Amino acid sequence: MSNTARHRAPRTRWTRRARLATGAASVVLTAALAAYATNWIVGLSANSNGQAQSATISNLTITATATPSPGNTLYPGGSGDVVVTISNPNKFPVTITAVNLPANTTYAAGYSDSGLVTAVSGCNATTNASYVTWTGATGVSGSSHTLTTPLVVAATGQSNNPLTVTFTNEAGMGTSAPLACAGIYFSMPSFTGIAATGGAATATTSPATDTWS
Amino acid sequence: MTAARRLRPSVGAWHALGAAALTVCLGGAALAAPPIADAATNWTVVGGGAGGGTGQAEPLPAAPGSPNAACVSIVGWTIKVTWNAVPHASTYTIYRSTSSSSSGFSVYDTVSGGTTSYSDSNFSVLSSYWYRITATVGVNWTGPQSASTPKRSISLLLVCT
Repeated sequence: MSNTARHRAPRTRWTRRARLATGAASVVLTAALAAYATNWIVGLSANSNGQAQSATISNLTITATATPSPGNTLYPGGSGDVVVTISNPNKFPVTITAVNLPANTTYAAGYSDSGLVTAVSGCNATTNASYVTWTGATGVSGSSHTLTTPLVVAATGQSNNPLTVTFTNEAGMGTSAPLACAGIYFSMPSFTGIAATGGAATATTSPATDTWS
Repeated sequence: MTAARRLRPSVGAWHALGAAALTVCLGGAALAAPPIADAATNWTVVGGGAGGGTGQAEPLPAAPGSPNAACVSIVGWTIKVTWNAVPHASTYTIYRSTSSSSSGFSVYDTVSGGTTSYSDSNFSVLSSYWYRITATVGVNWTGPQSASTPKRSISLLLVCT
């Protein structure tokens, strides 16, 4: 081994340690910051001239809605439609490509009215379980399901925002659903997340229908 | 620069995609740290969300329509009870009574939801019988009893009329 090699070895080890330490600190910092972030900054190519822009990505809001009424209604052992309204507060369209579902043991709560105001105690999410879950939900929370047709929610202030979507037969009711669940409305459990892209796209016309795999 | 930007290896990657991939949190719930992804894949949301949507359940099953009882074997005491199908029925329950009073009916037998008839051959001489049927969807959703079938009697000559 030459003198040059002997002298270089310690420097290489120090450099690796420094990189590891720097990388670990970066990951910790990133995680810490992300955990408290409500808006994320990403680079966008949001217009047709190809120039890059920066924009603040605000959260979409998905809420239950009473209209239109589901065409397919739930019954024990069967499936039914779910209607949602999706609002996009951003200044650019957002395209939703997939949804993440809660576990199949997370049940919907029953209500006697379409506005989901008056709860039905005999058909709820816990003690008198409705056994109403999302179609395709698994035993693990967060399973991802690709939409049959991506949903493009228009930019804020544009038509078709909010976007009303009927997910056809994407709720199921277990055969053991209590008698109290008959003829009532359900607030479906929250999605655990969605996968989406932001940028120029033709907005989906509201109301829309969709399914997932 | 925010945490989200730090997750991306280069801004140039966004330009190549034309439309930026992003992660969307639902309803403003606190976000867990998103995975460190490369520029070619969308991020996966790991945070909680707001409401899901509205579903609606069907009412209880209706009473089976057009209940009837016919003497299939006039000698041999076989009465065939029939009714109209009820959507999504998983089982039908047959009630029988020896009086026309609505309080006299008791559970007699159960058949699967795939059938709309029942053959009864268990009778007593000089007795009359009425039937009613209910439909059940799933396990717990049982609808009201149907109207009573016409009376069927077994005579002393062992003839069903």
